[in-house]
Amino acid sequence: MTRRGVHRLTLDDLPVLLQIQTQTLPDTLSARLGFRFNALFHESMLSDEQYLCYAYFVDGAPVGYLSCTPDTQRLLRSAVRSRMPRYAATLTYALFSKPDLWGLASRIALSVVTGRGEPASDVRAELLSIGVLASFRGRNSAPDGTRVSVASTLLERALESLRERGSASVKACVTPDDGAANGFYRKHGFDFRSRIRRFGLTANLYVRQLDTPTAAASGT
Amino acid sequence: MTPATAAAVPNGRPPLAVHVDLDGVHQIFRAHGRSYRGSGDPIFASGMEAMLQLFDDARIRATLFVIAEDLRDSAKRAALKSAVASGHEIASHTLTHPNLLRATRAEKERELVDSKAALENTLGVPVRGFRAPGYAIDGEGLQILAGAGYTYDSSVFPTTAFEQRLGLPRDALRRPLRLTAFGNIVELPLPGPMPLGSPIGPSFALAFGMPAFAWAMTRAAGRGVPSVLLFHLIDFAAPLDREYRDGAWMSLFTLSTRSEHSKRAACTKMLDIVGRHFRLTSTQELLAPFSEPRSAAAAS
Repeated sequence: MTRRGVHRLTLDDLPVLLQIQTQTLPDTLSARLGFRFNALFHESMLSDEQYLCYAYFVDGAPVGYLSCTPDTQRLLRSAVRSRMPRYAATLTYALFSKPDLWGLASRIALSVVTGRGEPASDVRAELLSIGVLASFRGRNSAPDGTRVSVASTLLERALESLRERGSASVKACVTPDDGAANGFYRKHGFDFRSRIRRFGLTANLYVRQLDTPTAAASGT
Repeated sequence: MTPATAAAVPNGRPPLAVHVDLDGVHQIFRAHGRSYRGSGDPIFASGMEAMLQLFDDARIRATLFVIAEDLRDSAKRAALKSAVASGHEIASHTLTHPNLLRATRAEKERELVDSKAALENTLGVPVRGFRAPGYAIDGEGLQILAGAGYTYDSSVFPTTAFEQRLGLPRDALRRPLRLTAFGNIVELPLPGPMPLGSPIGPSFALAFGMPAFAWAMTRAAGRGVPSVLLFHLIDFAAPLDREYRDGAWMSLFTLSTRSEHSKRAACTKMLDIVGRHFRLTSTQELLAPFSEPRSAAAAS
């Protein structure tokens, strides 16, 4: 019998998060700065109570994950502040080995320090990333044929946690050319608000009120 | 803590499994680009006998990592069957003991898949574990292991090389974990590293002294996580005849600098040190947390 469940990841689960992230979202901003920076970034995130990260497990192995926070700016500042010397050293090393990332790194640093460039600043809660293994995407694609949507289950769990923490709305930034991701958010009650530039990249900004669950969301 | 990572033991002694790599004299010489000129395999013969006697006295059930080509030798086959009858677990240490990092994918598949089949068919026991010669494993090798039906690997230890090969930080490689990016195989990392880039183990202590071993094992136990103690047959074997040692370098790598008697005394002392800090157990107990994921209902 297949055993499934959603677990909140803690600092002990850093290798779990790093592996599922590498498998599902290998091109995130932190991953582009090298595995040392990526590991430090996720270590500092998992150490912070403001970071909510859930993984969907099938028979002991993660097949998808979702991370979110009630307050992105607060999370980023507190995570960086908690490991400032290591961030400085790791970032310096990463940028010397990948000088083409200077622009990206400076834009992220400026945004964290000043808070400028924060999209929809009236909405503090944010879905940071969601990734599911290709073989577990969609509703009928699990190897054992069980009808389940990993992404929807993770999303519902995340929205429930954000509601419990007092968030009235949540935002998500999605790459415009990712049709599946844009469709996923629309299906789950997110409204397109605007096309934005963040960290030098273009993204679609979606916002959803948390006190109005949709039929699609509650049915998955 | 999720089903993909092993829990630390907050109080009490963490579990530790005893492993032995059964490298014989021919494989050791070959790994250093030489060939042994003597007859038979004195390291395998004397090492197996001394090791089984010591473990029997200490009531230890170990996991033996066998090089499958040794099954062709009837004396070695008989010794291995005797070890199985004594309750020791059998795992694979490849077919011919090559450096897997220099092997093609087809060669890796042959070494990992064929060794498992040969060991299971000849010894009549399931083979669940693997250790790469020289700890030389990469992502491709781990994927092949998982596909071949192995449950665990125990080749990794926390070094920069493994950080880069697996994309995981060194601290993550200090406790058993499921390598979900590499076919879901469970990794039972060795403690370490010691100077010269080897894992903490009796071979290092026999060559360079006991204090470093005692300090390193105490430190490893302080982390409270399950661990592995890795012996090699040279840790128990009688020294090679001087005529066949092939110089100081091979004397060191066959531990022919020490007598069988002094090795037994040192190994007994090492097991005593380890027993004070760890609870000696089987490899299967170390794997238990990975075979019992929480139910969906309990998970959330």
